[in-house]
Amino acid sequence: MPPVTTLPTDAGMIFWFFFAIALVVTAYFVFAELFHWLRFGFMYPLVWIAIPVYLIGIVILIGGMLTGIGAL
Amino acid sequence: MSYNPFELKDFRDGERVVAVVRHHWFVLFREVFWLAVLFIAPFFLIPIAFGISAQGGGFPPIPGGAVIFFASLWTLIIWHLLFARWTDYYYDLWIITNWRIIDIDQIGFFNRNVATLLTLDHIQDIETHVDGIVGTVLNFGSIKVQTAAAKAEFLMSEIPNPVSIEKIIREAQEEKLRVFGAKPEAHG
Repeated sequence: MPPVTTLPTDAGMIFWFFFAIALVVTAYFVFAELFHWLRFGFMYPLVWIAIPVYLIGIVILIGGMLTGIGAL
Repeated sequence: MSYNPFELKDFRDGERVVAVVRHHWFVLFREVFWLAVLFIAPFFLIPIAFGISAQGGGFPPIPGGAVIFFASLWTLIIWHLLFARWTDYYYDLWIITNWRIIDIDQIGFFNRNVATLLTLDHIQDIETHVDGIVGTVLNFGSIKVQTAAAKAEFLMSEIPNPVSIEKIIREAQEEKLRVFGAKPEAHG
């Protein structure tokens, strides 16, 4: 089989589908985490460090996914 | 009014938080270790699978964009799981006051149990256990408390330095007698 370096044009839809699922899952986790961290933050001071680290990581990784789709 | 840093319910005058106990850090490390294994597994297994199939004229090489996409997607999933595990670990704790022991048990995201396990005058016997090589080397184990209450015993599992925690509980028990008297009023 010859090597394929680019995907068929409609293959991008599959990536957008996975991207949409990732966004839904991320929305759930972000809501759940922030809900707990903000609600009980007075008891657990490390959450104030965790919040920016977590959110910055998410932005970078979603950016990575978009970069990947853009490079297809 | 007593200082109530954890905003505990039924906090009484004269009550103070003596210690806050979490699981030993090894509990978190163990979970993070398995997440790390899960994280790196596809980066090894997929190239191996492609290598094997390519020898038989199987899968073609995949475009770089797809690699970046799926690597980011997989990392994002592990990122969420990592913080979920950390939250579970960090939110699980026991609060020992000079009146009682409170167990805050975070199970997943939306299941949080806050229970007063016992008032300290119900304690009859305290056992500490340090089990296994890792527990012995890192000094963590469990404390089992026999009580006279309806729930006969409770367990603080995988906590650091159980012997010193036992000492803290006993000292808190003595403090309770000093502060609240030998025959305290019923908890409530």
